[in-house]
Amino acid sequence: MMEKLTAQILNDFIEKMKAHSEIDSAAIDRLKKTLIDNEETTRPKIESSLFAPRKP
Amino acid sequence: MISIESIEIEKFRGIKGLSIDLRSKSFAVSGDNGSGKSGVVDAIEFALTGSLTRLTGKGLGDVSVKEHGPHVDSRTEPTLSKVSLRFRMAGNNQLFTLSRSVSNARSASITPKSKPAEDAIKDISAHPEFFLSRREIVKFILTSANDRAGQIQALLKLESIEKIRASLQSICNDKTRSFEAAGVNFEMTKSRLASSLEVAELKKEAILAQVNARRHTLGFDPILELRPDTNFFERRTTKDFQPRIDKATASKVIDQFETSLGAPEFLFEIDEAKTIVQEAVADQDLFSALRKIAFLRLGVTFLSAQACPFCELPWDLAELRALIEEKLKASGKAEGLKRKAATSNQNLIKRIIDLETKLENLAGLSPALKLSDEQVATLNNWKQHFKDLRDVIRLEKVDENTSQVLVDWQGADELRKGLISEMRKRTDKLPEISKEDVAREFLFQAQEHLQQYTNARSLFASAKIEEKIATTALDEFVAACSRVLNSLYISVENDFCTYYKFLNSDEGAFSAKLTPTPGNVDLKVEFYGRGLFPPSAYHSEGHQDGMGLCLYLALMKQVYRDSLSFLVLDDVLMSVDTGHRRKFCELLSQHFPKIQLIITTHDRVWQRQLVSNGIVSDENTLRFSSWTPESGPLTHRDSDVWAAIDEDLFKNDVSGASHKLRHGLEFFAEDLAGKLKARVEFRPDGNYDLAILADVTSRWKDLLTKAIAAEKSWGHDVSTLEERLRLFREAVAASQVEQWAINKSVHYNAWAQLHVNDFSPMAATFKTLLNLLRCQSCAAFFYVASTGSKSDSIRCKCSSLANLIGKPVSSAVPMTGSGG
Repeated sequence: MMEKLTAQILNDFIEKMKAHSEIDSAAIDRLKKTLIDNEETTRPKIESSLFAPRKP
Repeated sequence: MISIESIEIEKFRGIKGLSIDLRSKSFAVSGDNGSGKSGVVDAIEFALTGSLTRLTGKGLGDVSVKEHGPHVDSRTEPTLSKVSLRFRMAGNNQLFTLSRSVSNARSASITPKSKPAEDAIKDISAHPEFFLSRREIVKFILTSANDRAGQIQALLKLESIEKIRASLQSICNDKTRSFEAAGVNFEMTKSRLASSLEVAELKKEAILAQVNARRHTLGFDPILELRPDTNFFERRTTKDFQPRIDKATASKVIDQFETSLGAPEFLFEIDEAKTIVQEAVADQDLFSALRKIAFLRLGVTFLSAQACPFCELPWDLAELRALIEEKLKASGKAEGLKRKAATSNQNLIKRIIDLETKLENLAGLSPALKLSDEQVATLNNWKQHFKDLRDVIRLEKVDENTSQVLVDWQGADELRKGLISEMRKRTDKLPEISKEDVAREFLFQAQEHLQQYTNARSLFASAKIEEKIATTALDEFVAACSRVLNSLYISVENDFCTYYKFLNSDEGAFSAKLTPTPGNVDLKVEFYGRGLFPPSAYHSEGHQDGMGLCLYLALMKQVYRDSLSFLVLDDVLMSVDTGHRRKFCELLSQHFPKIQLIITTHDRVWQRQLVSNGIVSDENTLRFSSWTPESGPLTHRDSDVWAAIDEDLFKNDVSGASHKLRHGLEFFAEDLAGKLKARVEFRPDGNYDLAILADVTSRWKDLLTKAIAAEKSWGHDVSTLEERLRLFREAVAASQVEQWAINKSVHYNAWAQLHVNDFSPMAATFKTLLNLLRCQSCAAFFYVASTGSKSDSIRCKCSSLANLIGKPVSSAVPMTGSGG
């Protein structure tokens, strides 16, 4: 169960990220899923959420 | 919210067997060092979390709960080592028991099972901060801003937030570096393309003019539009065309390099750039900071393995990365100068990149001009030298060779006069080729460079977007943390000051500043109007401990709000004096009245203060002494003492029984001396022996005599009091306690030599003696109630035994009892 303060910070962060039109909404959805739903904090997970995998 | 109703400890740590009935109220355990009192707090922590803070941390690698949790004599039987806590749930008063055994420390059983009970335990287990020892207090105050942040983050359960921030910071740093590298690469490909097309700037009209002129020579149609996939040379593939270098092309390559190298703007910009570099080199601190940045940046590139590449010891990759990133951020002035260098030398950097490209083209002539290995090496050295120059000007490369790079630069003229002049001579021997071949060579090179340029531009654009996303994510995350945490830190700061001022009334103007920055929490405290300083600067150790407690309580209040149910404080006021401890009692009762406190202390005075300030009741105190591995701590509760003596006597162990009787009587005598306000000989070390029992008996007889006189003056029946006094005198005579005061050599030291038949009646005499000092209804010892320095009455928990103040006789002067 995520701690209240942590959840508050993460929700605030995701909301503010949505205001940036230059950031793909799919990336924000992935980030939300990683940080809030799955409670993942590792750098590789965060990085792969933030940047869609490059096309080969 | 739950509270602890009782504790049952079996063969755990220093305790063989102990049950404590807390009745969901605060509880205090006192005892000298090594008396086993910490076993109680260890038991609570173990039952709730399955681990022990005392057995974890630095330097405790060989110690574990599994091996060292059981009592030392039960090391091989961890199943027998267990702790049970009985809890009461607020609201419905439901009781449940949590049990945990060392043999299966990871799981605990809850009986009867219920979701609310499981949730309550889960919640508390996730917050082991309910347990505080002096070791933990110090971590809040006498520590670096980074370590304090770690402590506070752990308490606020923000470790995951810090991990995310460190990851975002690291991603941002990498993306910034990639963006910078992609920028340099893009500039290089741009310069190569312009050079091969023989245009000053990459403008559509100029490019098409150059390309179409060659296409015309070859009979191709002109190209009208420039697109990323435009093919300058569509009828020839790289496979069937072998480029050749002719005299004109080689001369052009040499001309282009020499022109760029000798451009007056370039020489002027180099001189300008030197000023910033020399500023950095001249200032030792700045120079060191810049070197450190370079070193740390290099260090980051090694952070992919799980162990240090030097000593091969494993490291916490995330923690180390975060630490390096923080250090990089901390080098403010140096980073500022680096930014200035990168901005003001932008044009120069582009020029050097252009020069590097042209030097590459020059090196490409080496086979055709038949340059020796040494000559090729000279060109390569210059290639490296231009790169170094670019890094020095951006202050990316700062070391002992920095000044030398600038000096070496002046040698470029020699390169021009020497090797380049030689290369020009050799171009004469190159063949002249047809104008069609020249056109083919031109288009071939242009096509290659266009491809490289298009790829580099695309990579640069992606890197730019990624750098922007990474920076935005980091900035927004830090801002979200600030928005949520700043108001929290302000509340913590206010509560911290309120509590600290409450403890230290002489510091009424005390203020503190808790400044959170990513990864750090800086704490400064005011010192008697002289300004804000680190807590360890001027405040005493006792004050620092007080600050630690206040900060801890302020943070706990924020973490739990109204759901904070209990706190375990393990000898936390060691360095705090009596007056401040009294204030701490008042602080607890005023600001945390609903919290169940479990307090251990080596100081009996503080235990009494806890009782007299109403933090704990008399029956919710326990004193430990005389710990031995065989018996564990000796507890001084009435039933425990007499039961333990009976058990020893049953086993014919007079020595053990005499030991327990002596320590039990010492404890009761000291307790009674305080309750009855007996006059005892002051001992600076606070260690009062059994001799004070005589002072107590003497005081009690005196009190009863005064009480009889006072009650008589009011016309009350005093027969019960007189009978109590008579029985007490008999018990004193039977115990011979007052003779000991005269001749100490014959008293209790000889008890251990007695036969069990002689010792048993003597122990019974003392039990009778002590029982006469108790109320028969509530079983509590009597005490003297006073108003100021005047003793008013003799009371027990349930009622008043007698007045000590008599009826005023004639001139309204009351007949007073003993003043104590």
